[in-house]
Amino acid sequence: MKIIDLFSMGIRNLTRRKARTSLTIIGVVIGTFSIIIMMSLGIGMSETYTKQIMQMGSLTQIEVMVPYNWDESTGKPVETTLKLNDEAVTSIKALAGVKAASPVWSRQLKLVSGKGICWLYVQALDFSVIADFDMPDLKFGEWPSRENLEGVILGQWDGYFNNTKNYEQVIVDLENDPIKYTFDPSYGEENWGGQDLDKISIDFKPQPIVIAGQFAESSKENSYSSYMDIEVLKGMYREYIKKLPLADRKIAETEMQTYSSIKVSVKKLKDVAKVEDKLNDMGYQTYSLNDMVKEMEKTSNTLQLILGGIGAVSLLVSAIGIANTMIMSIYERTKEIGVMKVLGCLVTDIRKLFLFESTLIGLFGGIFGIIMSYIASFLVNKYGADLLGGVIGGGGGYYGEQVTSKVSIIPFWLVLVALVFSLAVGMLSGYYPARRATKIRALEALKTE
Amino acid sequence: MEAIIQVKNLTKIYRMGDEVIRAVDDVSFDINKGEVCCLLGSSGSGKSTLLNLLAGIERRTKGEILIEGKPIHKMNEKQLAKFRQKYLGFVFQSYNLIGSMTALENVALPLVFKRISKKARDKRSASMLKAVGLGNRMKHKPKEMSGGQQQRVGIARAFVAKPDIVFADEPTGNLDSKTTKEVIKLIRDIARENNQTIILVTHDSEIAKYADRIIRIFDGKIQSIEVVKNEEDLNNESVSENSKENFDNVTDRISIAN
Repeated sequence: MKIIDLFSMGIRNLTRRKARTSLTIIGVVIGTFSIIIMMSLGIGMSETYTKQIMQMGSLTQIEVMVPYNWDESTGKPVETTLKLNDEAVTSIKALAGVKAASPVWSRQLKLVSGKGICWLYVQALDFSVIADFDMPDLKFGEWPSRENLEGVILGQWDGYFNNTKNYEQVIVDLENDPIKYTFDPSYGEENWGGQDLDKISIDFKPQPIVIAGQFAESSKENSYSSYMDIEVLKGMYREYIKKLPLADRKIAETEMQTYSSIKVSVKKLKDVAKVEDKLNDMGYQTYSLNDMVKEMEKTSNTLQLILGGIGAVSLLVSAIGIANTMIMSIYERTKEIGVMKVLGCLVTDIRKLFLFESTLIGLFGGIFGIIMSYIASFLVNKYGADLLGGVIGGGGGYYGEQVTSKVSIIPFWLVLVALVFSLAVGMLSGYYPARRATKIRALEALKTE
Repeated sequence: MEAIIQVKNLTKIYRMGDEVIRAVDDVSFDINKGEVCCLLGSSGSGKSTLLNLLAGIERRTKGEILIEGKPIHKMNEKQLAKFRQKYLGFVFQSYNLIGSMTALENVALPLVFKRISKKARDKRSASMLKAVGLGNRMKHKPKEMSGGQQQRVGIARAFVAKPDIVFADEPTGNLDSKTTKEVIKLIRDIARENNQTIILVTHDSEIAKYADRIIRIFDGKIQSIEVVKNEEDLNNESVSENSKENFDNVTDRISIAN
C-alpha cells in the first residue's frame, strides 16, 4: 500500500468510531498535559531558586572566617592560632584556582549633610583587586580607580538621611551635595542612652567624604552595606582614633590588624568546592553559595523527577487506553482483516495500518495536550501565582524583595520531549495489537461475523 | 489448451483431537486457461477446502499446486500475498464488502494493495461498476444495497485487477434464484470477455450447468470430471442488455488502457 492510502484508510478507521477515538485521545491529552505541566512547575521552581541564590551574591565567591570553637566542658572559647591578617591573605592568594583575595574590615560610620544624618555600615575591601570580584552594577558613579582609591560605594538602600531632632527625612542629592563623615556614634544626637553627651562625644569634626557611586541591584550582600577601599578607610579611622583616649586608641589599633573575614574570588565555578576544601584543611571556616546551589540542584532534580513521574503515570494509563482501543478495533475488524489478506494485502501493510492508527492517536493527544498545557501554564502564571507562589515559588525570596519568576515554565525542549513521548506511547501501545492483527489467519477471519 | 492450474496428489488432513479428517484426499486434476470450472459437491465434501488450497489461503498437507507453472505450496506469506494481488480474484458467499467503504472504494481495494494511484484506480473501478450494472450506485455503502447488488460489487472487486483466475465460493448462496442466474452469467460473461479462468464452488447442480468443466467431489475425492460442450443453449436468458453493453464498452477501454 502507498503511504497516502495507509493514511486515508487509518483516518477513516479512526473516524468510524468517533466517540471511542476521542475518548482515547483525551486519555493521551491528559497524560501529555500532566507531564508537561508537572515538569513546567518543577522547572519554574528551580528557576526561582536559582534567581534567589543569584541575588544573594556571586557564586564564585568564598567567605573565609576563623572558626569559633569553644570548650564543651567549660563553655569558654578555645584560643586559635589562626589569624585573619595580611599574611593569611597572601597565603590564600597563593592557592591554586584562586583569582583574588581581599581582607574584609568593617566599620560603622555616620554621614552628615546639613541637618541630615545617615548611618553607614562600611565593608572595606582591597579595591585594587575589586575588579576580580563579581560586583553588581552601579546606579550612578564609578568604582574608584587604582590611582585614586578614595570614595565610598553605597548599598542600594543606603543614603537615606534623617533629621535627628524631629526624625523627618532630609532629601540629599548624593551626587552633588557636600557630605561629611564621622566615626563618633553620638554625633548630632540629642540623647545617647541617657549618658552625658558632652562627656562621651569625641572632638572630631566631620570630614568630607566622596560618594563614588551606589549599587543598582539589590542583593543580600549589598543592599545595606557600603564598600570602601581598606587602606582609605583605615587612614580615615587613624585620623579619628587620634582623638580617642589612649586606652581606647590601643584597642582600636590592634583591631585594625585583624580582619573580620577574607573574601576569595575563585577563577572557575567548578573549582569553588576544591578551594573550599583546601581552606577547610587550613583550619578556616568557609561560606559560599556553592553549598546552597548543590542542595538546590539536588532538591530540584528530585522534585522534577517526582513531578515528571506523576505525569508519566497518567501517560502510562493512556497508553493502556490506546492498546485497549486497538485491541477492540481488531476484534471488530477481524473479518475485514481477513478480506484484506485474501485480496492480497501484505502482512506488513496490516501492521503498518494498525501502528499508524495508534500513532495517530498518540500524535493528536500529544498536540492537544501541548496546546492545553500552554493555556494552563499561561493561566497559572497570570492568576495562579498569588495562590501557588507561596507554596511552590519558594516563599518569594529570603529577604524583603519579591522574586518575580514564573510559576510554570515550558521550555521548547519540553514540548519536543512531550511530543516524542506521546508519539512513542502511541506507537508502542499499538505494537502488540498490530502484531495480533497480523497473526490473524485469513480463513478463520473470513468465517467470523 | 494450456493448463493454468495443475494439481498433483493434493491432500489436506485436519486433526481434531484424535480424529484425523482427510478433507482433500489425494486429488489430481488440471484446469485450462479461460475455463469456467465448477467444484460441485455437497456440504462437507471438501470442495471449499480444495478452493482454499488452490487460492493459497490454506496450507496443503501433501501434494503440489502449480498455478501458471508456479508452485504456490512453496510460497511464503508475503509471496502468496503478492501472487494473489497479481493473479487471483475472489468472490465470496457473504460478499465480504467493507462496511465503511462505498461501492467504488470496495471495488478499488485490490488496486490499493497493488499501489495503483487513486486516480487510475477510481477510473478502473468506476468502469468495472458500470460493467456490472451499478453505475448509479458508486457512492453507496454496502448496507444501502440489496444482496444482488452487493454481490455485483463483489464481482467488480474480484475482476478489477484483471486477475487470471477468479475464485468464487458459493457466490450465489445468499441470493434468490433469479438473481443467482444473473450473477453467475455476469461472472461467466466477464471471464469470457477477457479469457479469464473461473473456479466456482457450489452445491447446486443448476449452477454447475454454466461451467465448462464440472469436478464432482465427494468425501475429499474426485468422483468425476465432466467437460460440458454445449454451452450455447444457456445463453438465451442473458443478463440485461444494458449492463452487457456497458461492459463491452468498458472492456474495450480497459484493453486500450493496458
